[in-house]
Amino acid sequence: MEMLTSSNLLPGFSDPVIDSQSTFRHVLQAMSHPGRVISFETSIQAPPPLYSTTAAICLTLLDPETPLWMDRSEVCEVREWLRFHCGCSWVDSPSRANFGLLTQGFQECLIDQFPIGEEEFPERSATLLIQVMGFRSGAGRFLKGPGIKTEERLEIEGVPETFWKAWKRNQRLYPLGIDIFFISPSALVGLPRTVEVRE
Amino acid sequence: MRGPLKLQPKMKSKSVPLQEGYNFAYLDEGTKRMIRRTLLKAIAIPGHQIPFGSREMPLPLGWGTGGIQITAALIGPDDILKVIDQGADDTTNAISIKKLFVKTTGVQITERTEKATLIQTRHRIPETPLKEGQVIIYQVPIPEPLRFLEPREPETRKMHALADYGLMYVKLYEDISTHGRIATAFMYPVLVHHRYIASPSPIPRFDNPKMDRMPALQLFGAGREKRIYAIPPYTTVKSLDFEDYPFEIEKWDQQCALCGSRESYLDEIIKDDQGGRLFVCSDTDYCQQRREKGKNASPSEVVAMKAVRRKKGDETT
Repeated sequence: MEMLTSSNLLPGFSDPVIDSQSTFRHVLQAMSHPGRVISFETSIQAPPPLYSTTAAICLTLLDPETPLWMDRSEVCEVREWLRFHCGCSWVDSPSRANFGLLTQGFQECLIDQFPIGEEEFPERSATLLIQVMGFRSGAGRFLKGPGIKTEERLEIEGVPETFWKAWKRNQRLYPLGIDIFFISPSALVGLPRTVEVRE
Repeated sequence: MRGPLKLQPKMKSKSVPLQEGYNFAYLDEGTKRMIRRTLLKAIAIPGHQIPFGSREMPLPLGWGTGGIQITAALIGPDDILKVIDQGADDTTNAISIKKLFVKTTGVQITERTEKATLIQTRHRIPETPLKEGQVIIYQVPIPEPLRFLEPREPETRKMHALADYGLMYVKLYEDISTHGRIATAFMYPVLVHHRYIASPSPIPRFDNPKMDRMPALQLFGAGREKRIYAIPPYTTVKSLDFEDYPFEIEKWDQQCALCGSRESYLDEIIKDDQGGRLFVCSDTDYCQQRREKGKNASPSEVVAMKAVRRKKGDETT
């Protein structure tokens, strides 16, 4: 493994307190208004393949208490960067992860492996951060549920049909299930387990 | 670990200088992250109580430490904070909490409900309807609605897991058989998103209907009991009742002695030792705004309000 040196490590937030606070408010907004495209920008320089937006969300939510599973864990820069700035521990299996970081978009073989919580502790489920190309609101599928006034329409670029089938399975588990944040280079969309999707 | 974080110059310092030696909004960043993660899960499972690592605060437990910790995890330099205690902006609990946040964040404080971005409340929901984008943070003493019926935590947890809420309906039924009506006046249990029974914190049941499909985000923090739960915007919140004994809110024969409102929740104030009493709005901001409007109102309204004041023997305002 490449040694960690100060020369190849990118910096984190310039102001950790205020930047993580403002990032969190975007994340909170996305979670409380599912399906709504929350645009947000950050000046952070992220190690590829992380988007700067994903990097900001990682810095805001991850720390030594959150075991992380990532799809491209062989990318040394990302590992070192997250380890240095968040101090998070890595797990080899999605089933033990608290957070899942999917930098290459949705992969169906993975989705059923993350923890969905327990009957008495439904909150012990994974939160997935999935990187996608972009969003189109006002087109695509219809979303309904808490946080949505009447109905929200959303199309996620680069997410295959199989995702929505997997989401139906997840929806049936309620109150268990995973929660997802889709992250594009300039925006994010929250998809908590309560969201019902219709074509 | 990082050393103590220095307060950054870009934070607005108002008339009160920021307290040195404390992190922004008092809590350390690790605690804020833990509370933030808990809040996200709480929103994803509306009405479900989630344990969290409640911290020692510079106020005693029972003074709103749960609410304060949520506010501290949310607040930023651009927020406008309103804190109320039983509807009033100017009582001890509200003042001390506001002082804590002014000293540690320098945020702007307001009493106007519609101007606030964060509203921390003890036991009331403002009369002015809340809007989308606002966040209301409740201080909760006892988060478990089933606690008085079943003291054992493992049992109540199982009841929530199985949505086995028969006991709660038996309690309401016993109310009816004893008093002829559901006698619960505050902390009236609600069913959130058709799944979890939750405590609305000790708000009067008058406020319960405001929770249903509220456009603002509702967050609940119990510091002593170490629980956080949430109700996202536009979520169905149903006050429990029976078909033949539907849920009803309190009504008064009186109107507010100061602003004449017949729609708001009234507090009874004892005036003297002769049995003299006065009913006034519990929501001080709502009452104040109505009175200000009354000054510029059309003559007929002014006359009507003066008549009200004379009737109540209160010409001081």
